[in-house]
Amino acid sequence: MKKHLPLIFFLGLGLLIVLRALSLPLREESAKKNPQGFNFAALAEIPVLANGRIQPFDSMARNSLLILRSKSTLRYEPAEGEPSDYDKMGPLAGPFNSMFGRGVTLPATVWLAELVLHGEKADTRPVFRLDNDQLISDLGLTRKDGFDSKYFSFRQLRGNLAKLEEQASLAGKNKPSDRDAYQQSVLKLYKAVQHYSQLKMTLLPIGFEGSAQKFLADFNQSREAARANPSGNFKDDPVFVAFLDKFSAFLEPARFGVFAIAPLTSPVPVPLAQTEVTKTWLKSGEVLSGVEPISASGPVPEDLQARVLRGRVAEIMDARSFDPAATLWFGLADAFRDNRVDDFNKTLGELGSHLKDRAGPAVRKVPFEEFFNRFEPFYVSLLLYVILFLAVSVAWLAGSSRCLDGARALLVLTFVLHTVALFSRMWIQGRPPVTNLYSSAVFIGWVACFACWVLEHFSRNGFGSMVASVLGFSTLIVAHHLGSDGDTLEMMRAVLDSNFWLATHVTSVTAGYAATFLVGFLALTYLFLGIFTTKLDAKLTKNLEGMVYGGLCFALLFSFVGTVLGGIWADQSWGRFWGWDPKENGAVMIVLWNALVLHARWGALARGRKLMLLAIGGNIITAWSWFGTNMLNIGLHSYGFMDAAFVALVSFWLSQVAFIVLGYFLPARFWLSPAAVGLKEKAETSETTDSGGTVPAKV
Amino acid sequence: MSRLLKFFSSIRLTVVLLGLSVLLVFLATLSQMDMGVRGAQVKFFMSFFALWQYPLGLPYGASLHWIHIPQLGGWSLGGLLMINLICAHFRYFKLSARSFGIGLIHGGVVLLLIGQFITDLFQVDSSMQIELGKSSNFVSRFHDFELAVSEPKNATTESVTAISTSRLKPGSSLQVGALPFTIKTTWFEPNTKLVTDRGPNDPTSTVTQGIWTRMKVGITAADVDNSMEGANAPAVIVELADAQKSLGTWLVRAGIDRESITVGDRTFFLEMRNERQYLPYSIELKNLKHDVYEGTDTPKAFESDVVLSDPRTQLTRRFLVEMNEPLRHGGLTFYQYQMNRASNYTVFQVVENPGVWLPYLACFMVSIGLVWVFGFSLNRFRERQA
Repeated sequence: MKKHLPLIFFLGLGLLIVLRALSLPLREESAKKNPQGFNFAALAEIPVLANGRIQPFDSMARNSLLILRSKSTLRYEPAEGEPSDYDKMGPLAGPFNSMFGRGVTLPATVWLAELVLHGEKADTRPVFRLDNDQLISDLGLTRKDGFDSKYFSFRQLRGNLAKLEEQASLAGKNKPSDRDAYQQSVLKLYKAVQHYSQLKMTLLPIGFEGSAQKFLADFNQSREAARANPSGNFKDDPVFVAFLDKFSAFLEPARFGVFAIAPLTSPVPVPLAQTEVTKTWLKSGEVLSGVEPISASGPVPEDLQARVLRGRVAEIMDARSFDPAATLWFGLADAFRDNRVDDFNKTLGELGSHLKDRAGPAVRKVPFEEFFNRFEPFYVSLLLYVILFLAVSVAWLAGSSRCLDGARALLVLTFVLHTVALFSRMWIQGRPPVTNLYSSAVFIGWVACFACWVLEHFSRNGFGSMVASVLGFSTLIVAHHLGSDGDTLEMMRAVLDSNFWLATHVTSVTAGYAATFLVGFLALTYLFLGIFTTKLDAKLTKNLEGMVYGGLCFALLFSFVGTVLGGIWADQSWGRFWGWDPKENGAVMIVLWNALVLHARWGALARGRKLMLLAIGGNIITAWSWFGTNMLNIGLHSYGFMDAAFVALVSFWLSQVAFIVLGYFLPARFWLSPAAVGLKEKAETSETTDSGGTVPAKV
Repeated sequence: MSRLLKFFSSIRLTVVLLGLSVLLVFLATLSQMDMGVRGAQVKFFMSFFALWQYPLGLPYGASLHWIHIPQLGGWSLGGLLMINLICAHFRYFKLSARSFGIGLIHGGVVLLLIGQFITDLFQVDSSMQIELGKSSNFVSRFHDFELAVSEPKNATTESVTAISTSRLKPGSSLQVGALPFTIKTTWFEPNTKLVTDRGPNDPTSTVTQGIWTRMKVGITAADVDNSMEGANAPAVIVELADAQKSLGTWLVRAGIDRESITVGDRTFFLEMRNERQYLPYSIELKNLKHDVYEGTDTPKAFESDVVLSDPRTQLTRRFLVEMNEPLRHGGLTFYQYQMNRASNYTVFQVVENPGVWLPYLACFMVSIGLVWVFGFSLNRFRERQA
């Protein structure tokens, strides 16, 4: 028993974290059935349609907060004596969020409920993140006014929106590459305010007062009256004008509302649209004022607008009853505004079962996605990678193989969790693992973790666990930052909409990145151990070199096959095998570099320490291929310009260059294990065999 | 063994060449900021030697633009790598199970290099635009232009004489085919832009006929756009003359309606257009579809429903051309490229590349070779572990 103590300790710690994370969604399940206060847990699971996909209300809320403030939860300082109906909302707050920081956490779902159901209530929440001092003062604010000195509410911005708009239109005229930090902040805030306003008018028009359900009844009455009294001259008929008033109130929500709430029994083709659109869901505004054919972002020819309007009035005049989903949503709004908790929860229940009946299998993944949001398995994996790092460090410091066993068990647990997270995402999206930059980061971490597990299984010296912890942690951090501007489960553009090629080309290229990074980080570990510890001996060095060599072979294989498959895809889709697009060039650089390192090894030009330094060079190339190429903003693969990422990339490059320089020039006396890295020793020799390759000389 | 063979077969040379290749690809990618994908491709990859300059489009571009780095071009590096490979095989390799894999890899790499070289030399990119309900029997080159002189024969047919822009050299005079006049070029620019005010030296001042005598705007040379999507507007000033006298001087610019010219009782039209290649078959656009995801502007699918009629083989068949599903016929491949649903037309990218199958073979060989060789390594590793 005693000899298993470290294993039990590390594995137990990991399991504890996983269970803690799991306990919240489980508690939430029971809260849903037995609500105390508003049943936000049930609201979180209500399906809506936005960005081309059906998603839980909770995802909509989290992704909106990401757009506004780069975080998926909201913290605020409750005012003195503010009545809180939400006290019982513990489970919604997320597993670890409430432990740190100032103020209290308002879950994303609760915030969006306020904004959509009762707009003015949300206007005091500090949801807009402002980092630029000049912009803050231009908006008549000081950092003191903000929560945590950087989060501001819509009410604080409201007075200066005209100024913001003016600055945004100035900044918009500049090319993206010519915008300074101020202009970028202006545009970012402007986009955020726009999104906020659109969310606010998603269910009801901005400034709507009174009862939504009563409005619906009045609307019906007004419509009946207009229908019963067709004077022929619509313009001056007061009955018709009264109807038109009510009708027009919902035109803006129909066009600008962010998500659709009502699934249709049969899809309707949209007449007059610029593109072919078939609607399967309607927005609340569309339920009241007809299907909107004009996209919110495109320009609108005026004659088209008039034609559309006539068609829509006719359509609504003919309709017999409004979609029950809209009626129920309006009921929710009324109950929320009047603080009628029981009515709210009852209506919510009806809405949930109505949507389930009406939308059928289309919404079957929604509860799982909501669970996934709450469980945050990538976040939990991130924590496990940190613990793994500590575990290996302890094991190495103590020189304990038992501790290493414990670390290895933790590695397996982490890998399992990372796998669950990755496959959950794939199932929700119905896609292969890599569909955008965010998912490539997640996937690189996963592949690296798997490879490390294999290495650790054979060598059992902690290297695999160590590199897994570092790479897993870094890639998940990168993913976290990449995922901070909105929905990461976005739809694939037509060109990329091919699961076969996504599964083959993209997956293998990304696996090639992962293998190259793995090799680079193994080499970094070698460098650290050589300089800072006495652990690096001949046996370990040989072992590490074997790992690096194997890793290089896989890296070359995956990156080559992946690059070539990309060429074949391009040939199938665009008629060219190779187009010298930056991303393609990046991929071929990885292939060439790995080939270079392997040839340098086969030719005995670089062994031991020098081979490791070349392997670190792979990090530079891969980082370029993965991120740098996207920053150039040219070609088919550019996903967009990312300024902050540029600084991160250059810093990473500099650090790697520094390691290479250090490893090459640092004199023997500064290394704690100089012998193992070939310093002080005679230069190695090698002999050429007649099979053309070369046999490694003794290290 | 001669020193030369030793040098060319050395693995050190391989490593150096691979290193230079990485550098070339990296620098060329950066240069795409300034000169576009196609410009960089021609300068760095389809050349023997190139001088790289720090691009203006990168951070601190203006102050670092003086930095120059000489580079071996893609053709030099590709050629040297090939020589290196072949010499190395000649020098070292004997038949064994493992070296069979290495041979496969290297053979594949050689094929890839050859394939890319053939593509560089022979691949032709064109486009075909078809309006809904109409059909087309020609493709237009993306980046090459021609001066077309057409004479209507009847309601549907024209006889066309096309002159490639490469033959429009200022000062030269052309007598083409059966045209009843000579064409003398006095001014030509591969790309032009319009200017609002005509200066005293504006090229249009020599024009005596056609629309440019009635327009206020002037014209001036512009930098040639080498980006992938870049569109150039070449313009030429020509003087036409029959046996007796000059017929006048015209300015012809791409993208402007064609000019009509009357010579005796015959009428001709003069036009600068993308170089056309007529096909022995035609394609008719029956229907087109541009889908977006619900609630977004993200395109979900583009589809062109077409009928291909080839009188040579009496083939008439319906095809659905969509993303990732091109139409292949008669050595050409038609890819869905652009679509405008408001104006009801579709554009195919049309590619002819005789080397297209080489990469497939090459990649197959390299992939098998890599798995083969690494399989050996893995096996050895496992034996050592055991």
